[in-house]
Amino acid sequence: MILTLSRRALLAGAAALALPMAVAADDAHPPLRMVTSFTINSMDPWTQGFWMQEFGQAELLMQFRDDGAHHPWLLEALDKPEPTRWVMTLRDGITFQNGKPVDAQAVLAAIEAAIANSASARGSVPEGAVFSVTGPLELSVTTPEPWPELPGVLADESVFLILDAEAVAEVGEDWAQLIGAGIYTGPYEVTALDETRMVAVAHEGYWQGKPALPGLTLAFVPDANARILALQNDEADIALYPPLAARPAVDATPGVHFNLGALATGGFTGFMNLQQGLLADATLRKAVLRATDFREIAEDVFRGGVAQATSLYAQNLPFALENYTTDLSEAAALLDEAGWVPGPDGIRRRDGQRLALTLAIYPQQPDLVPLSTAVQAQYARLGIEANVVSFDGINQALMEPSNRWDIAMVSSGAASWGRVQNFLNSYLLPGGRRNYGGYDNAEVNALVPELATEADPDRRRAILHRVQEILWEEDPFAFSYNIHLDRVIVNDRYACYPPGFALYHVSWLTAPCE
Amino acid sequence: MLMRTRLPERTLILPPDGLVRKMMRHPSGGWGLALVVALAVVALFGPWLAPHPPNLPDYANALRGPGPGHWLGTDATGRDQLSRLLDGARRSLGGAVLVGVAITLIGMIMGILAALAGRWVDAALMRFVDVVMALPGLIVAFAVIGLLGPGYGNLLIALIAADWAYKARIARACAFEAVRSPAATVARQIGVPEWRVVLHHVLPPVFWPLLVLGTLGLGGQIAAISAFSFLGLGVQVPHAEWGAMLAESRFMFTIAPWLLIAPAACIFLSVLASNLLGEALRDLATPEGRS
Repeated sequence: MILTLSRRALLAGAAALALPMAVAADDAHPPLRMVTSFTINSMDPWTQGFWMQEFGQAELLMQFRDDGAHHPWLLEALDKPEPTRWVMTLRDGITFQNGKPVDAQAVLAAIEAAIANSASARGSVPEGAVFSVTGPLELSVTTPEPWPELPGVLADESVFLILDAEAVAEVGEDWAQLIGAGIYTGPYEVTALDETRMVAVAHEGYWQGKPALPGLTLAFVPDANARILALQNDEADIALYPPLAARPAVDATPGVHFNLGALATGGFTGFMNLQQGLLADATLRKAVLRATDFREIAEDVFRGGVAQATSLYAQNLPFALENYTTDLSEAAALLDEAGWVPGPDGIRRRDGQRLALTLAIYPQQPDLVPLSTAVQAQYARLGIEANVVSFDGINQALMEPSNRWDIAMVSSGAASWGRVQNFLNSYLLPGGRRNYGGYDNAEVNALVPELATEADPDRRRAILHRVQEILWEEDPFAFSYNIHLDRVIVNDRYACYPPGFALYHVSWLTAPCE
Repeated sequence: MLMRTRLPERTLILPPDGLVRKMMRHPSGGWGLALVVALAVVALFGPWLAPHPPNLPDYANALRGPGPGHWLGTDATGRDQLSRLLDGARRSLGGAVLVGVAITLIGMIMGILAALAGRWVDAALMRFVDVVMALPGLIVAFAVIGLLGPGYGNLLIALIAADWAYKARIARACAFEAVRSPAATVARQIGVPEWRVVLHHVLPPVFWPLLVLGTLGLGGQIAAISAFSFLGLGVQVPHAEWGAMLAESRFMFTIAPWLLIAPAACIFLSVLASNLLGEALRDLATPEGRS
């Protein structure tokens, strides 16, 4: 049996066994203990690899930061000498955790492997794009049309992780062999992964310097209450994805802290159903938007744990058009104009039909319970009855025509990693895989493809402003109820830990406060 | 004619004479009956007794402790806890009663039909019952909710689907004996119509055991409705239900324990009441008296 094991598998096993010793040997800080709600199912880099970027194992060529801009990361520079050609220059001296150099050839192999194996990567690359090596540390990509979103694509964790493609190809689909294989470039290397936790140890040869921690363990704990209790019982240092409902209790508990961070790139988004029910009427949709009290949602419902939505996009993004206002009298006038008049019970009626809407939420987001409760009360002020239905597996449920709903409340990112195209293509265009409500606006249908190849920043901003105007003023469909703030619960040791922006939870500098 | 006078009215499905009086004398029956009556009043008149609108948020008064104005405090959105408990009673208790009645009726019909028809109808119905009983009730309930979707109505259907087979099996056993009893046989021989035989000789021996079982099972139904609502599969927001109220407040135990204690106490009292009443009924229904 031993004879059939590869040298890599033996090394991986040895590394896993050596972990406690390695951890004990570093007396500066104990390893970081994190708990998260999601399980990393395997080392499959094409479907699970994005987690590795979040917890310090894998890295990307670019990084999206809270200034709303993309910055080179493994790249030293990203230049656009011609409208249809980008040049990527790699930093010198970077190696994979297994010691192999990260040169242009290795990066090209990683990109090609991603395009071959990952649907997300394939979907992000425009047709006709050609990647080529133009120097030892230089690659170029040429496209038939300008590709303005390339910086965002290179910063998106689900597209091009930089990995040792040769080592990945060698294991076939026996992903467990990648444990300890050092296929990524990040500060921490995976040494164990099972259904309950992932363990990683510091990669001493990390290109920016020695990581601050000897390692980390990431436990998979789906229940939010259990994650909070893990912190209170000193079984974890950082708990990810805490529900905002837990904030008052956490704030009142000594030794644990509810840390809020920067504006995220998304929030709870409302999608209206134009295919069935009353919201086919644009006037009613406009009234619903104006009846939504965005201030109350941010300040009263979530007690400042989210930012007030003033636009479809987060306020720090340069293309956000801050056009949201709450105006009950305008909303009432719109409903009057559409023939909806208050009935004896306060609910409006037209031709005997009650103005009743169904809000769709899902159990995986417990914060949708207080949000939907608040929205029901807000709409009731205007004479709109709102009932709530909870769907398990919201994306499938909303695309299923037999399910009745009028407004879906979904946590989504309108500009994840600074990329706007994905959201617009998927959610707003006819045939988009998440166009839940059957939105089909001729002008939006023309603007979105134009944006995909428009390189001029001013014109891009103008297009995005126009889309936001249409979505508020003329033909409403998707809107933000709030903008999320990154958030975590931490113990005293990590009281100064800032929640990771754009899901970068662990960097080489992550360390206890002292 | 003679037989007509010999068919006593007490064999119909009517409370035996002095049942309430006997119940009050029973060590646990009195308490059970008193609790059930009190809970029934709350369930029936809860919405009218509620001092505040149960679903209306009042953020300025969020997480207030028990005191004047809000005798059981307020929740994280400022809703009055007492009003929500009163409003939620009809869903927690009413739903359990509805499920109990439905499974008793279904079980009774299936059981009596099998016993009366006999042969292949009996065999087919009982094999079907065996198949359903072979599946754990919890799995059946989850499967039905998965099929129909979450919601209070669907939850009740799921609980009925999960629990009727056991009652059918009991009903068939009781009915099988009753259909072939000497009294039923004699009644048929003298020309009493079959429906009267069923009404007077089959139904009573089936009904009373099922009533006792149903009452004893009521606590389980209350707990099941609460548990499924706790998981988000039952009552949907913003409506109150005791299990759902526990779920909504589970993060608040350290700072607002009243939000969990009150609905938990209501669930406990309801289960206790149904168990006490069920035990008393069982004792009174047993021929030898208390067993």
